[in-house]
Amino acid sequence: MLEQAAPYVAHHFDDAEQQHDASTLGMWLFLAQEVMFFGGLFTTYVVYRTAFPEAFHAASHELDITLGAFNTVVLLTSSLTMALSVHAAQVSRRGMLIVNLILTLVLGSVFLGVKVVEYAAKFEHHLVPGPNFHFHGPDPVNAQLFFSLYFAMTGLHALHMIIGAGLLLVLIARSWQGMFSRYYYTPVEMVGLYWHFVDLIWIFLFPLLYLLGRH
Amino acid sequence: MSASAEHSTDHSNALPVSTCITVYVALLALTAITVGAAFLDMSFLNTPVALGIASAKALLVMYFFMELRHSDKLNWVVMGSGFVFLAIMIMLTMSDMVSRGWLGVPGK
Repeated sequence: MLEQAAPYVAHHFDDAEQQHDASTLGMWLFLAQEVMFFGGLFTTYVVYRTAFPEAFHAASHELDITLGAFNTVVLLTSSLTMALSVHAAQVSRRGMLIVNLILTLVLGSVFLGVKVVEYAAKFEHHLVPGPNFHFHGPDPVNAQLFFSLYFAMTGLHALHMIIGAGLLLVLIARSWQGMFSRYYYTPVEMVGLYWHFVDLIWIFLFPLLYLLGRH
Repeated sequence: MSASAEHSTDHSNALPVSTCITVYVALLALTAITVGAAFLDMSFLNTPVALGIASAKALLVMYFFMELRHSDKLNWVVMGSGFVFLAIMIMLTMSDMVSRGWLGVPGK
């Protein structure tokens, strides 16, 4: 038991270690739930892709693979800076912690910015499901299904990124105030778990949405 | 009270910077491979290969960045259970969809 962690140990825990273990388990339980949350959309994707393979192949070709790959690299880099943030907190390096948290936030914002560009292009090319949808390839009715899934899945993912950005802002403020050190860094670690999970979702979204109809 | 080096407050458990960067480079390499493989025509193998590479990336992120390497096995079980239930959802849904019309009976 370390006295330095004492101010941050809630009264219903015996010590800092137990609190840390409970927080970690709680976050993993939440992430398991998030797997199911996104899982509903993934299942829908599997069902309709199996039913309409040609439409999905053709529709996937309309997505910009360069922007998708770029965004994948951006998110992977943000996971690196997030992991470095956790490392910095664990070795009490406040400067490195703040820099890497800010970098993670910047990279996440770049990702969201690229998504805005992509969504704008969809509106321009009449690929948004609804009255203005117009698809030139085969099976336009079921191609619209692909785009519904595209917006739902990437939209839900983007919402999670925005929430993550909010969490990072809180962490940056608290890091600035010197709250984290090797005696107490649990919030940094927990936001790290959340952020890596959001990256995980994109790791699966990218091939399923962007890499279908390329051959 | 003397400071004890318990795992949650012992910073030797921290993921070394070199490991972070090695994992990152591996993730970038796998991304390049998956993009390249998408342009090759491997007929029915394209999807399993893409998902296999994505799963490898996921395992790297979970084992290193999400520190399952040092975590209690209970955390492994919890995360694994999420994927097990997802697999059940997909498999049972697809077996329903794929077997429609097999019996020649209305509604089956």
